[in-house]
Amino acid sequence: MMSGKIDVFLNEEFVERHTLRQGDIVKEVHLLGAINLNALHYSSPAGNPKELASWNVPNKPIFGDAMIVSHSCEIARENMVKVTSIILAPLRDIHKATAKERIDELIKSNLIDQQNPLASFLKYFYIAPNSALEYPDGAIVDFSKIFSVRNKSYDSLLDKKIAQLTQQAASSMALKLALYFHRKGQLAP
Amino acid sequence: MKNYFCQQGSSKSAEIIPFPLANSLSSSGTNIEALLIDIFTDPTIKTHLETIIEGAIMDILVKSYVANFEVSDNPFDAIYISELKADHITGHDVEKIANYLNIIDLSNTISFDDEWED
Repeated sequence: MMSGKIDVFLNEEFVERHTLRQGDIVKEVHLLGAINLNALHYSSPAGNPKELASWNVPNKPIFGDAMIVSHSCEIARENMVKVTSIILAPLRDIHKATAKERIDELIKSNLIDQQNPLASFLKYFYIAPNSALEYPDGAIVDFSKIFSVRNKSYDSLLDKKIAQLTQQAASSMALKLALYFHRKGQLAP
Repeated sequence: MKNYFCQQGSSKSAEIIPFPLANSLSSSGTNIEALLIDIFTDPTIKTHLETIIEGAIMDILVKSYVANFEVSDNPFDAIYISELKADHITGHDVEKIANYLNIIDLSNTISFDDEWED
């Protein structure tokens, strides 16, 4: 039985090195989520102020680990259907969580498909500590900061792949992701 | 459409089934020549075949175009609906998601003190 801390990752020898799968963790990618649209700077060519030719974000780029949340079939190389983007969600160090007393509850919420809970932390999916990751206490995947990159980035992301979830863990992650968008809008008690 | 394959009459009814035997070139029981003549002279079949061939050619062209990421890698261009097919969703999948419709999200009860500033 999978818990919040065991059977989350495939053993090293079973990790698929030549393909990206839903739940793969990639290291040190430029995290593009949560951009402030009001802070973007646009540039126009001289004499044509209405044409926007370029833009920049006046902030330091954030590099970090991320999880592939695209469906495995959708990003498969053999898939000839129009797939132009690969969707990622950033990882955040759980050590930096502000409500330490709720971390155990957050970890257990990974078992959403087994416990049928009335409440859960739908925005986060817990990632247990792993030798390939730099989070001694584990990390969370933050679904609220999802972003996409072009499929031209496939090989670049593959080079950065450091871990792969088990099928069961990937399925639990996908269920949480689906429920994060599907749930009714109720406030926490 | 005519029947181009040999059939045996029923031994009970002794019924004889019409068969367009222009010649007997086929030893396997299929009159290929008659079949081809009818195909190229029957407007309905001809139109039907043309539709199939044109569809196959278009399919190859579209797949060739879509597979060329250098050309079509624009996430904001047209959606080639003709190339899409519905994802398979089982009743179990829908039921599973629906079971959690009223789940309460506790995400706002925890936050992170990191560079994301939320």
